[in-house]
Amino acid sequence: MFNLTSSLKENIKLFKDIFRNDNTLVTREFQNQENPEYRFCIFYMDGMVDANTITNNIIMPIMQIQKDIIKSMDFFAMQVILSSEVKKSQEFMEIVDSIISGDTIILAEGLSEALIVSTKGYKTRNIEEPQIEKTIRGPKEGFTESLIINISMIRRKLQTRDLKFEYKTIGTKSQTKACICYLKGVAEEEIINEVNRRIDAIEIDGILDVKYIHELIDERGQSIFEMSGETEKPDILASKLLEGRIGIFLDGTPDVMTVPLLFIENFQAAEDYYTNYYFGTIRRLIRMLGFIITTSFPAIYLALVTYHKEVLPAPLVLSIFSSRQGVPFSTAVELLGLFIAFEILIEAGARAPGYIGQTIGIVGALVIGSAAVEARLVSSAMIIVVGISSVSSLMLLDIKSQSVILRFMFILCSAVFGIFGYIMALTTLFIHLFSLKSYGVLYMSTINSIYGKDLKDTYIRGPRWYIERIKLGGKK
Amino acid sequence: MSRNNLLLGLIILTVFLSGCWDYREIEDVFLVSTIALDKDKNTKEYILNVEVIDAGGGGASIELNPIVMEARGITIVEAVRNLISLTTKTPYWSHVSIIIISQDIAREDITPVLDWIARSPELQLKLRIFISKEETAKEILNQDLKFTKIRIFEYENMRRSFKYLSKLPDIKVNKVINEVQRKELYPVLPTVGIIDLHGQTAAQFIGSAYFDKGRLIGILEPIDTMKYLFIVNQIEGGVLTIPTDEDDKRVTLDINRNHTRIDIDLIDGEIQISVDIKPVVNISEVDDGIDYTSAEGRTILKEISDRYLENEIKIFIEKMQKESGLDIFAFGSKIMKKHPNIWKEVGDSWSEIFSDLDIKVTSDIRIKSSQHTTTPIGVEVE
Repeated sequence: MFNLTSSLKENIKLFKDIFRNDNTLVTREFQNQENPEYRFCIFYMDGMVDANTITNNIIMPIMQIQKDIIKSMDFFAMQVILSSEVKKSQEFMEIVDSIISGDTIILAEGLSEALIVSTKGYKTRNIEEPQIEKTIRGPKEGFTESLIINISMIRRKLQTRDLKFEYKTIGTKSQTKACICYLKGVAEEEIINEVNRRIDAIEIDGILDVKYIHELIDERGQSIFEMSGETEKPDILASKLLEGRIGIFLDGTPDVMTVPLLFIENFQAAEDYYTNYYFGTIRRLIRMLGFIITTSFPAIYLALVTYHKEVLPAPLVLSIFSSRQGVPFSTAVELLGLFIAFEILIEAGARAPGYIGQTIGIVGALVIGSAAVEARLVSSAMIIVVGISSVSSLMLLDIKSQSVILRFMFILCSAVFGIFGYIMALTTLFIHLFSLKSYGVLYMSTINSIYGKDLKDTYIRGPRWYIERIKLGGKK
Repeated sequence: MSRNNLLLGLIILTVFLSGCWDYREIEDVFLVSTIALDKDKNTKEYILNVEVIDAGGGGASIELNPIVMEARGITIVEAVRNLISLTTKTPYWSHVSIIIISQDIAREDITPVLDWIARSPELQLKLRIFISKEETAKEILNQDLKFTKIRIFEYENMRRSFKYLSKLPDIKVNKVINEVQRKELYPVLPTVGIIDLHGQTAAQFIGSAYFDKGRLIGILEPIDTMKYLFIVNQIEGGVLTIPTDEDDKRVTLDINRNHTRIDIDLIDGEIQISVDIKPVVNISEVDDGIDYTSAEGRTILKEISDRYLENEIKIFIEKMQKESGLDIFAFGSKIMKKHPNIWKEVGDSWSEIFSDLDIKVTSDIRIKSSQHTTTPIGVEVE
């Protein structure tokens, strides 16, 4: 279809036609100072390039060539252009793609070829401490939106030939660069191939966040649980790579996806490994307790108070009894209503700008806390149940949304069938969890083991000298 | 029908056929805390007195008000139902911890009461039955509480500390039901009475009453109850006061723990029962000024205490053998378990055989400490 000709004028017209109505395309024509008959033209996208590089390393050397000019692109590539990456090309579409991605194109009068010079340069965010995965001890740096900076951060942590990066381009319109990263010999070939296969099969116009990849390549199922994890810290990714997992970077996202994901990873935090292992174990157990509390506590409370009062000791029954006096709603409605109110507060807090955020806290504490109790719209016991359950869910951000869904499911089952309904729901949950597979690896693997040695880094965080790194699939 | 539909059907059946159905808001029920059962001598009606707890307050404050209500019925359940006609909410029986039964009912038969408790879906088998030593049971319920407003709290707390007193048995109703149904067992239930307290009256939980099947036979005094508890190995605390000289000066021993062993032997075809008591005690009060902490003193004290305890318990057993001939100590049950063959022979006439048995009692007290001081106050210090 389109072919470069030896006429510079025609070539320039060709590019201008392609980028019609795109005013960010910069065209610059110039001549050699000694021999004005040698005419050149460069194209680049404004804002995608480093203008200094173009001026000093492309335009200046070409303008100022003193010696005889050989009419060949090879000559310019080898002897004139000062750039670390220069490529000769005749493929029109490749040239266009390079312009879009921030390279500069050099055309010369009389030559039907173009030089692609790497001049990418655009503003990126500085490396900052990540907002979500904060730690008190341990490395503070977090990934940025720049793919290459992210890759360099991992490269610095794992300086081995075995660390492999495979580029992929996803998105017919966005042409977003992704990168699959793994440790050869540690990660299982099968999983690598599986990930490659799934990413290649993606069909989408644009991809803006790594979450898109999650949903596109995870096991297709109706599960509320996610089969791949995310991290925004290089040290966490490095440790996952060492355990045989695969990381997937996406340009423009500060989150890196890791596969496969095991259930237990939701309860592990990097800090477990940066603090004393006794303390690490306690905190991990507290996180697990938190998961149980946030999902089950309201449902159990509801079942006990409405169906199985005989289980509760008399003083507790009497204090709940007393606090429910005058409350117009049934316990189930009260519970669901308060949880919805709490979720509204969280959502409002997350969306509202900082200066309004404080108001939300005060209003939430006053209205939902004391005023509702004093107006006898809710009982004070319920505030405690909802409070502790909601706060526990904030401890586990990785499965917070799942906790909320489970909590509502459990509450509904409890409201209809009592503790029996809760047990049924719990059984269903376990059956579901144990049937899940993440990229061929059982989602619940290692947790269900009955051998102590498999549990060194699950419920407890064993000391570093005691746990070898647990490799996926059991290969050392 | 497809496989999925079948599965769905199964799940629905499982859930709906076995789920819990009694969704009741907690504020829609009255919590019953204590029950007192009497019987009208003329009309033969049961008189049911219950203390239910109502709550005022609401919101952040807690305010609990006990209300005593009375209902009558020709059977207990009828009385229970008649109670509904007096209340705004349904009574909820799960937290009843104490049922007080009048002596009239107890002397007649307590099995209807036990039957009602065992059948009730709400009443729990861990509750305790007390026998009123007064005219009626409801008198006890009408006594003012001294420490809390709610009987269920007061009585539960009291009951938990009974083991430091060891003057009344702690027996759950499921055990009573079991013992009533068995030939060789005789339940012994705790009793409650009313005493004067600075012009006021108060309920006092002390002593016990022993039963033959469902009928009350006799009352045991507190001190006898303690001896009974020694024999059946239920002593967890309490004190022994040992007279040490003719002036009736005494040494008080605080029982730390106790183990009683009952041995049953056959010597020349005769049943030999020996009761072996091994209390561990602290010296907690010495009135006669003798230093019992020396090796010599300890030997003397041990000797006196052992003889005293053996004698007292022996007298108590003989009294029981003579008075009622009931084997409330469950020796028969021990024989049945250890020597079932012999039990086959003696089981039917066990009461008579028991009355004539010569039961050996031995005591082996271990004095563990003298608590905070060694020498008794009043002894001149050199």
